[in-house]
Formats: sequence, structure tokens, C-alpha cells
Amino acid sequence: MARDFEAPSRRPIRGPVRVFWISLLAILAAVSAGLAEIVDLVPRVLILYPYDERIPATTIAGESARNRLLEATAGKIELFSEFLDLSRFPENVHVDRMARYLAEKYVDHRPDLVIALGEEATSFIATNRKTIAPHAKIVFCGFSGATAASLNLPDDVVGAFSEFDITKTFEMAIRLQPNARQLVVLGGSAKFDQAWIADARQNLAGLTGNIETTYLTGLSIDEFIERAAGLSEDVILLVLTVFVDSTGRNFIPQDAFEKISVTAGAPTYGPYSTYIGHGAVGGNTVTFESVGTTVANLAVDALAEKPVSNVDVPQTYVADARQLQRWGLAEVDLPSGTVVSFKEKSLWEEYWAEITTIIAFVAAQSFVIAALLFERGRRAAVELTARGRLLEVIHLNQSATAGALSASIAHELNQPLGAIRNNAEAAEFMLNRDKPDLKLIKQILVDIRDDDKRAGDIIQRLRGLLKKRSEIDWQEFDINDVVKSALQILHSEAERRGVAVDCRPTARQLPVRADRVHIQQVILNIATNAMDAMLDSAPAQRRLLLLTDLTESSKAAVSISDTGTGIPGDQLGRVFDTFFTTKSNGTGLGLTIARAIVETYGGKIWADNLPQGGAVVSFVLPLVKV
Amino acid sequence: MESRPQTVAVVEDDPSMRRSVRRLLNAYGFAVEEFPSAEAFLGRDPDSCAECVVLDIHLPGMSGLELRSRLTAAGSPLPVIFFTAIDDDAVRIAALQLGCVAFLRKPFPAELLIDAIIKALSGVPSR
Repeated sequence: MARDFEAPSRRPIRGPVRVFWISLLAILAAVSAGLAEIVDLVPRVLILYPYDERIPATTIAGESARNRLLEATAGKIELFSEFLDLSRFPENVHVDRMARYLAEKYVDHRPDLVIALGEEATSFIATNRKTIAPHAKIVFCGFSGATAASLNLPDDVVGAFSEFDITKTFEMAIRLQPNARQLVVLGGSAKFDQAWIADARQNLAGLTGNIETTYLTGLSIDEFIERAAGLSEDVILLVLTVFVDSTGRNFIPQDAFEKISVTAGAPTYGPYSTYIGHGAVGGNTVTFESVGTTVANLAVDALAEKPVSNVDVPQTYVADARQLQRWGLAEVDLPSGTVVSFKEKSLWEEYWAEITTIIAFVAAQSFVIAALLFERGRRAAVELTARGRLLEVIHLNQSATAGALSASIAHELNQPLGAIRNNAEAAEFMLNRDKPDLKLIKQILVDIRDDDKRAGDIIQRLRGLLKKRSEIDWQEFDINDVVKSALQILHSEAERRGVAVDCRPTARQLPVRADRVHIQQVILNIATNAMDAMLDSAPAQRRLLLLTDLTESSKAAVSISDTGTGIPGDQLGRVFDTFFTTKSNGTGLGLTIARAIVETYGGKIWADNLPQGGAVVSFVLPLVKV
Repeated sequence: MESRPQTVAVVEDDPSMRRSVRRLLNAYGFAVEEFPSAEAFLGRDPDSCAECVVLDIHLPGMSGLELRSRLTAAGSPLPVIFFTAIDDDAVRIAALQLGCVAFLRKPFPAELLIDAIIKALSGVPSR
């Protein structure tokens, strides 16, 4: 299933393979100095690409094969590349022409080995080897063993097969959860999703033993989330892909995976490396890079006259250390060679002791400050120390926020950047013609300027988010403006998560005196928390509401409410406590820092549940007297 | 040399991005039909003479991938070039499997898009 180089379409993109000759020199020299002259023969390797040079899949695999060959032969290899261009010229007449052309071109440079990338190049060279490379060994890659069997290749033509093997992902799961009683396999309703389900049904059938297996498909995303949440920890949840759910809603599989895994009751696995970091414990996958490396290794062995036979491209086991920890699974139980991500501690984990100390210190200092309120002489010094530490913590928090939003920021930036590039290239092309349409070029320049501003604004906001303070930058500003700037930072993330945002600022200004960046961080922390709380809500019901108000006691108030699960009654008082979190991926610091900031500026912050469901977090700051 | 320009449909929700692609294609001598969504493309004028589709993957409503599947299911021969601002392996592999002439990540060099379109149109019986 999902074998990389096989595209069942009319324009399939097949795998590239690069052929590589290994130099015999090093090996033979080591064995016998008497063979030294043979060593001087640099092997000639022809890499056959099925299409043109711009197909990414073949390029990645080809580059990786090439690098491996150069490395294994210390550069003593002669590499040739030919692009058969068979997607644009599939006709037999072209195939014959290419065969004649290559036969003639290489008449004095017969290759010692040919690497064929993909099914079409493999068929081509298998058919025409006598005229093009009569004495060459042939290795291939980029498709599955089943496809290879259908090609009826000669016995001496061997290859590196790409097989996405779902049983390996299952095996990883069973090693981690030897006492699992149930396996749940989940997939969406798209054709691609269904092909995966069929593949899993067929291949997992004999392996599950006493484990009861359930296939979850034909459900809506909300039903998927609900069913996954209802699973217990002794279940293995295997999520394939959800491109489309039963209601016809579309997803990026990675996002669907995250939605499901974040509240799943059972450890969740999947067959793509891009699921790592989005809630997957781990899985087994095939990369284009390893396709190239594997076929290059076959080539190296063949050139060294070692016996070679068909191999599978090694699948890579991938895992996420944080998820192992979440589920109490042991890293030692992972299959050997598993690439474990997120092993290094996060900034928070690494510095948690320091941060705790700092926060405790800040709290203590605040108390001291209060006690010393009237001892003005001492007060200034103490406050300075406390502030310095708080500023450090806030900056860590700012960086974490920027990191969490980086994917949506990158996406957002790529739109204006892409438009600018297209416009610039169009204008350049037009200017090279005889009578350029200057009016149109003027319009293009206006658009470029606007898009440049759009990109600049995004970066400006990001910069504001990362700005480090060595001391508080006191400013007077309208708190409504900060609410709006925080929303600009969050809007594409909200969009990505399907959260509707509603902002209702007061008509009148609410001037406060504080560091703008800090107040913005308070709003970001509360709003991010609120969005996280809505992960389980039905998409249509995910609403984030931001209100500002003037309180009766003449303070500026901001309240941020969500339509999420609310805060369990007994925990209402604890949400601002250090490391208190109800989320699997939470650091438990966002609201604590929010409180520290608000209190620094003489304000107050509190949380409540809403009668209609969901939670609201509010804070007030003293108004500047005008 | 050719009798009339070949037509490319561009399905993209970002107005500025859509406009820039149109200009680029116009500059290279292609006619362009613009659509802000997959639904708008499906409801296009029956007289539409688009011969290939440049298709954003992440659209409001129906996604580009879903549109591709529907076109295939309906037996449409229109070749598709995908472009997207998001990087996701599963999306890329699905796009390749659904069938496309090219898969471009924004921002992309004009050359890649133009080459892909020429390639797409070369497979289409002319006029």
C-alpha cells in the first residue's frame, strides 16, 4: 500500500534509481597488491531515470543513491544519467529511438552497471540491455515486489523493493504493549484511505493472534475522535490515513491524526514519519532517501562481484519519546534502530527546575515586595531582581509560543511570498518583450508592494512575539489594540484548527500602562489554552470569544471564553498553579506566567466555567487616568 | 504559430496568489480561467475550454485532492498540477498517487510551473 514510486494514475511518478559502480581498487588492494592494475579501472555506472529531471520522488532517491555511491567508492566512479522522458513520450517509437540512441552513444563507454529507477526504466533496460549495456549488471528500485513479479524480469536483474509494511508498525506496537488485548485500525472514507484499510485487513489478518481486531471506518471525524477517546490503555490504536471522513469533510492526514490522537484513550500509531510530533507513538515507514541508499548498496555489492539478490528497502522505525512517556511505554522495547525524536528535553523540561525556582522566587519576591511596599528605599532593589527573572521566564514562554505557531506562520508567509515571486517573474518576462504593457506592469508592482507589506506584517508580529526584554518597556496603550494584534498572530492557527474567532472590543479606548509585549503574551497564553480545550468539540461548535470592557471600578477588563470542555469544578482554583495541566501536551506554565505578568502590572486574573459550557478566563488591569 | 492560446484553469482561494498565477500564465501565452474554490470549478461554464488545472490543495470547502478524485471518478481527462503552501508527506504521496503532472510547493520558480503546464498540455490532443 502507498508504495512511493507507484502511482496508479495515468501519469505515474516512478522511482528514480541511480546506478553506481563501486571501485574495486580499495577492496582488491586490501586483498592483494598483485591486482593493483585492476584497481585503476573506474567502474562506469549508468543511472536511468524514467521521466525528466524534475520529478521530486526520483530526484530525491537518485541524489541519495548518487551520494551513497560516491561515498562508497571514495569518488572513484564514473556516473552517467539518462532521462528517458517516458511520460511525455510514451509511444513505442520513442522507446525504440531512445534504445537506438543509447546503444550508439555508449558504444565506446559500455556501462558496467545500470541502475533503473522505477518500473518503466527497468522494463526498458531489461528489454534493451543487449544493445545498450551488454555486459552490465542491472539493479532497480522504486516499486513493490508484486509489481516486479508482473514484469517477468530476468533472474540476474535484482532490485530494492519499496513496501510500506503495516505489519511492522503493528509489530512495533505489540513490542511496546505486549499485553494489548485489542487492536483498532482506523481509516477514512477516501479511496486512498480505503485502499489502506484493505491492505491492513489483508496483511494483519494472520498476525493478531488472540488480539481482537476492530476496523473503524465510515465514520465522521467527531465519531473517530469519540471512539478513540473511549479506548482504554491496553488497546493499540493504528491510524492509517483520514483524507476524507464520512461526512465528506477533508483533512490533511497529519491534522486528522493529531485530532484523534490527542484525546485518544490508547497509544496511537501510524505509518508516516510526518505523524511524529502530532501525537504518534511511532510507526514504520519508507523514505525516498532510503530507496536511493538501498539500491546504491546493491550496486556497490554487484560491482564488487558479490552475489546480490532482491532486497526490501529497509523501512525506518520512527518514534516520539514524549508519547512513549505519555503512555508509560519503555524505549528499550522499541525495535532496534528506531529513530527516536524529541528525545532531547524541551526547553521547559530542561530548565524546569530553574523555572520552578524562578517562579517560586518571583512569588516569594512579590510577597516581599508587598511587605516592603512602604520601605521605598529597599523596594526598588528587590523589585528589580524579581523583574529580571520574570522577564527571563516570559521570554522562554514567548519562544515556546512562536515555536508552536511556526507551522501556521510558515503557511501564511508562503502565500504572499509565492505571489510576489510569480508577479516578479511575470513582469520580468513581459519586460523582455518588444512592447511591454507598462500599465499591467504597474499593477503588478502595486500587488508586489501589497504582498510585501503582508509578509512584512507577519514577520513584524513574529518579531514582536520574540522580542526579548532586559527591562520592562513601559508604554501607554489601548488594550483593544493588543487584543487585535494577538488575534492577528493567532488567526491562521485558529483557521487551521477550525476555530471561529469572535472579537468584541469596547468602542471607547481602554488605556493601560504596561509592557505591550507582555500583555500580548497573556492574551496568547489564555487563547492558546482555550483553543486546546476545544480539540474535542465538534468543529462547528469551536468558538473563541474575546471581549473587552470597562469595569465598574474603572479597570480595563479582557475576557476570553471558549466552547470547550470547561474546567472540572474542583480544579478551578488550581489552573494558575505551576505545572497544573489537563492536557497531554501542555507545559502547565502558560496560565501561571499569565498570572505573574498580570499581577506585575497591578492586575488580577481568574477563571470560571460558563453556564452554557466552556470556560472563561478574565483579567483586569488598572486604567490610566486620562 | 498556434491558432489560439491554450487555456489553463487556476483554482486558488487567495486572490493575490490567483492573480499572480494568472499574470504569469498570460505572460507565457496561456489563457486563464480563475476559480476561488473547488466548488466553483465544478460549477464552471460548460463552454469552459480549460485543458489543464492548476490546483491549490488547501481550499475552503472541498479540498484540491477531493476535487482531483472527483474528476478522475467522472472520467475527466484534465491533467492536474498541484500547488500548496503546506508541507506534509502524506499529502504529497496522496497527490502523487491521485495523479498529477507536478506537485509544487509555494513559492516556486515560474519555470517549474510553466514546464509542468507544457508537459500537461503536450499530452492533450491539441484543439
